[in-house]
Amino acid sequence: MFKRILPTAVAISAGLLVLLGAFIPVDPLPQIRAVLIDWAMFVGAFAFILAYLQLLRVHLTRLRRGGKGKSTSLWVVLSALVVFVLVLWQGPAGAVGQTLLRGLLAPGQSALLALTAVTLLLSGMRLFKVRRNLGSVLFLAVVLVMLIGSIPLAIVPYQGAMGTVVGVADWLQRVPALAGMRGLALGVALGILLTGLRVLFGMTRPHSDD
Amino acid sequence: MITLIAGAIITLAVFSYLLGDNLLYRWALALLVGSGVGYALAIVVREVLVTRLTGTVRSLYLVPLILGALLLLKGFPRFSAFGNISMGFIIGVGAAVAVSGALLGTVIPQVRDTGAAVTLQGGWSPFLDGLLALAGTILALFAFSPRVRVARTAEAEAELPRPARLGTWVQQLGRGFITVALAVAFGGALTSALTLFIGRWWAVVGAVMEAISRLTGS
Amino acid sequence: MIRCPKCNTLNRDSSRFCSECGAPLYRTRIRCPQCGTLNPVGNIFCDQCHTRLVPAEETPATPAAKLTEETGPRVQGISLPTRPAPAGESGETGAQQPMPDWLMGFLGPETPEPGETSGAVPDGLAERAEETAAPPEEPVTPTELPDWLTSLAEESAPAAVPSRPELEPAAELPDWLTGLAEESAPAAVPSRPEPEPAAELPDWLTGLAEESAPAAAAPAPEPEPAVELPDWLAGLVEEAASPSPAAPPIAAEEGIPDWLSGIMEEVPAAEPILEPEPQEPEASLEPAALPDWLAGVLEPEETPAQRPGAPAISAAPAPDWLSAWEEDIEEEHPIGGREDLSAEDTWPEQQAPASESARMGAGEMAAEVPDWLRALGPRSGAVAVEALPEGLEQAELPMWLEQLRPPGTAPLDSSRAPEAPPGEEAPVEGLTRAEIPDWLQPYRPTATSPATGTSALEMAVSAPESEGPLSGLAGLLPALPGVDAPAHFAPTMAVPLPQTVVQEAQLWQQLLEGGAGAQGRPKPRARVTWPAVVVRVMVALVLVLASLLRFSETPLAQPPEQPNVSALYATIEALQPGAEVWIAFDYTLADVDEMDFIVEALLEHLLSREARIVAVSTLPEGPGLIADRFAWALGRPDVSPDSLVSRGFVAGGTAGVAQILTSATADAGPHLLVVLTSRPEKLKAWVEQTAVINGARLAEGKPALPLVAGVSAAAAPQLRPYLNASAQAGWLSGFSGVAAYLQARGLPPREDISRRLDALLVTQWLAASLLAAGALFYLLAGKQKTG
Repeated sequence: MFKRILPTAVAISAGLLVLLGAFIPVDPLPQIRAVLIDWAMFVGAFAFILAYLQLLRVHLTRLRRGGKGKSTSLWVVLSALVVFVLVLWQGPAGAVGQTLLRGLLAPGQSALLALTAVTLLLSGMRLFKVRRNLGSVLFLAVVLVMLIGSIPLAIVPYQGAMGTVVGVADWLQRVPALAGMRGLALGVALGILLTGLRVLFGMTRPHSDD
Repeated sequence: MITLIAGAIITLAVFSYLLGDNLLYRWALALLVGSGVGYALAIVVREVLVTRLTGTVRSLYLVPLILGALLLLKGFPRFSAFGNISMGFIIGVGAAVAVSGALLGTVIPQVRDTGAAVTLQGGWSPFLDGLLALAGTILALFAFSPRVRVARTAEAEAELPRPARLGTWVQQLGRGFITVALAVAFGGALTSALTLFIGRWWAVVGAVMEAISRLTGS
Repeated sequence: MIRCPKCNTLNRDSSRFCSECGAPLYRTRIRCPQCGTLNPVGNIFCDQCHTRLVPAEETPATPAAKLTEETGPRVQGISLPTRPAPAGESGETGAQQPMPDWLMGFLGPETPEPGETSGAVPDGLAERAEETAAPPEEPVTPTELPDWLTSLAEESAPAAVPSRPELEPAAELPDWLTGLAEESAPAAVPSRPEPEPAAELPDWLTGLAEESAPAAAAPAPEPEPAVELPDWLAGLVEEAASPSPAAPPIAAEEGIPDWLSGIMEEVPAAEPILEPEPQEPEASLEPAALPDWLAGVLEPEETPAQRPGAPAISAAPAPDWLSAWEEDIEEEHPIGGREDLSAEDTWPEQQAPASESARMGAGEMAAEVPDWLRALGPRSGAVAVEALPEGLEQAELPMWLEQLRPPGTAPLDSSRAPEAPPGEEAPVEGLTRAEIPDWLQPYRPTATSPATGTSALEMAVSAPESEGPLSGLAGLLPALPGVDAPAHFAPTMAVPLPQTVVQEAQLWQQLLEGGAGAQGRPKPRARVTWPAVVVRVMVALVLVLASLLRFSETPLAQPPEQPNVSALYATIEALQPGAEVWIAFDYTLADVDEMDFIVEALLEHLLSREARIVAVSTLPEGPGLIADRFAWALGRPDVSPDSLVSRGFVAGGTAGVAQILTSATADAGPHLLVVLTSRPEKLKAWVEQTAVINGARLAEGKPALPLVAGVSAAAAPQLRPYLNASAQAGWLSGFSGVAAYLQARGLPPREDISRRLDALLVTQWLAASLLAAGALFYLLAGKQKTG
């Protein structure tokens, strides 16, 4: 009952009410839709909490069992507890929260993303080592045009070769890249439509244990 | 000042990965992960639960509170079945929201804009661009279609019937458009990463200079 | 059809035992032991070949004389073992068994008259024949068999020939026949444990029937009269009822192969090969009834375990078309034709004839297939040893025959056996699993159907729906293999390597790499080699230098001209003072260094337009970012705290976006929505939900809510389709977009922005150079290698 029937019934009924409220602007459907979405937002917060608690449980288990990675798990658990208490007490706008944000979280995560500049560059340099075909040539050519043509040089006249490169870079983004991304976006949207309808018809039950 | 110095230290600790995986890097990473988790947990509890449950319309949240509590039981294998109801609710609402959004926000507008771009109003150049974009969109859609037979070798292609060979070409052209799109995305990702790289080193240099000036009193 | 007197189940006309309960049935037909023709019960002689069907004492009239006149005194009593010598009976039954053709041919077309000697018969035999020749007018009785033949029968079925105790087979038989007698007597075919009704079951089927229907079986009292079999055939015949030691033992509950079990009347099994389930068509191709390799071709992966709601296998009687076919075959194809069947005809590829024959019931295919061919018939290696009657021994198949063992007669590798899904009950009683030889296991089609080329997962998710309002339909709402995989689906490789092969390959590799001593050497820990570290550090240093060094006093870069930036500027410029603008802070902390400039540029413009800012975020770090940016904004002149409102964090992802928009547009709603994000999925959610809201607003006569965006350079290419949509009112991306926006606003260039733009330009050119250099290097290096 709890594994399949009730969750499926809840999913289908809630989903259909929200869907009807979106397409049929007749009272009280939009209001019901608004309430259900609000409830879903609230329950979603619990999903956030559950996800984070699961992560902490993994590290706590590793601490208890010992072995490799114990020190890093200790750092994770300690920092999580300390920050949780401080931010819960003062809030995000408090001094502690802002200091943590600007002094630790933002620089650290930004540095991690900045590292990808080096790794992306190195992987791009090895592209022809891994795969040497027409697709790789096309890929590299487009990347080069984008890197050179996205920011025009001020010291060189805009017309001429530089202008051509900038124009080609702009055209690549506006036409073929747009077409490719649009095809991907449509494919993804159609997939979401299919999957969503399957969920609403009870054919796909990711919430159940079967 | 503390923010600057701390930011510089954590930046250098993360960049130490360039020299190879080391303990300093792993500790910095662990610190970031733990702090991030604690920060997010605190925000969620404070901004959502406490705010809603102490607000004016508390009774409205009785049902979602029960659903949320059931959802937390998912963390316990023995009682995880009870959390399926909450999961069903979230997934049902999420699916409905996604379906309506995908249809009204992606499929219809994208199809409309793709067709609307094929117009002679702006001249031949925009018309050709629009035509190419339309063809590219359709080809890109077919690129990953499993029903289109693709010949991997010239021999296999020769054995295919003519309509199937067309499918091979359609997929190849579609993949060409997608290759261009991915290359542009690669360039954008590299640009963004370089922007952050520049910003981090400027911050490190700024912190060092700030520290020197504080120490020297200048 | 015959109705079982015990359980009232309908059985085929030729059934000897009930397929449900195993009770003996009253026969309505008799199968000729010579030609296999089905004759009515009242017949004494076969309609086809005039072979006596019933013992002489049971016959009221002259058919025996007729037999003598037409066919001559046939020497009877010799036959390859097809029916048991029932306990207590005289040897008449065995003696009346027709002579096999090879022996018939040896003795000649007619038994020589007393006194005459056939050229083909040794003298000793002729004498025996003379002595034992029956008077023409008398029916042939066992007592009239030649001594040598009678003795052969006696040895194999001592109770069968009680009337000739004076025979001493060993003394009187020629050597070649003695050898046959000695060898085959002790190695008698496992007898038919059943009494008379089961007499005609072939040995290899009898042995199988024993294990599968133990309730109906009775221990054999004596061995079969199989003395006339050469030892190589006798061994084969024995093997028919016992497992070969070479065959890996199967689980005790497994018996005959599914394709055979399905046709055995004694086994209450499905017969899905030839008769589909009327209610559930897919049950007709239940793999459990077919060898795996055959089931995989016909219906790969469509096992009951993978199809929730698939019907359980149930027994079904043979279809009428099959029984009609059996009759046709027997009537139209005399024994000569049947004997011409090659060995392949009995392999599973052509199971129908063999299965039909077996299906026809015990004892009725005695002479349908020659004995030597019967002996070569497929047999299960799965007969449990404990089911063998007492005194029987297992014999081995010759190697050449063992290699021809058909699929389904070797046990399934337990490691590859598909696991029963949770809650699945034990297999239906009487069903047995098909087995694939080990050598065939790797080629078992699992992941991909060779017929359609579709993966097993795709087939699993494209199967007809089993639940929901669209149950029974397929393809109406096709599932996505990556999303809707059945929970219990366990895809496997198309050709998984056996573990032994993998281990062998690993050993070979070790030997090749390090010689004899490599086996015990511990695997070195993976380390990054110093050239890679050097390259990485060099590249990073170059980028650092390019970022920090100032190469020119004058700006190197200029902001690009972007129409989208101009549109954004125009949209914000068109706002009336006091307009409510909702800003979504949906970028992560990692992109702060880039997004801060975008936020500041837009916030500054909005505040200059005296807009009322309402900030919200669907990310946990949003409230902190909002507070930080509000703190920056409040530091500017002429900015009132009332103009900056924070709604904090809204959980739920897309649902949260929908909730924000629903509550924001409840009344008049905002005049503009600004989405600041570095994650493509966030902007997609905002664009989609805004479209939903705008649809409702337009229906109500309200104006649509315009949306503008500020995105990172990494997200912009992926968001192009949404950003370029006609519904969008402008956007900017990346640092270059900020520079362009400030230029569009007509503001004087800022030093820090100009320097950063220069640094970005230099690093981008440097990156392009490095990419080109790397490509050239590996192109040339590759050419050198091939050269």
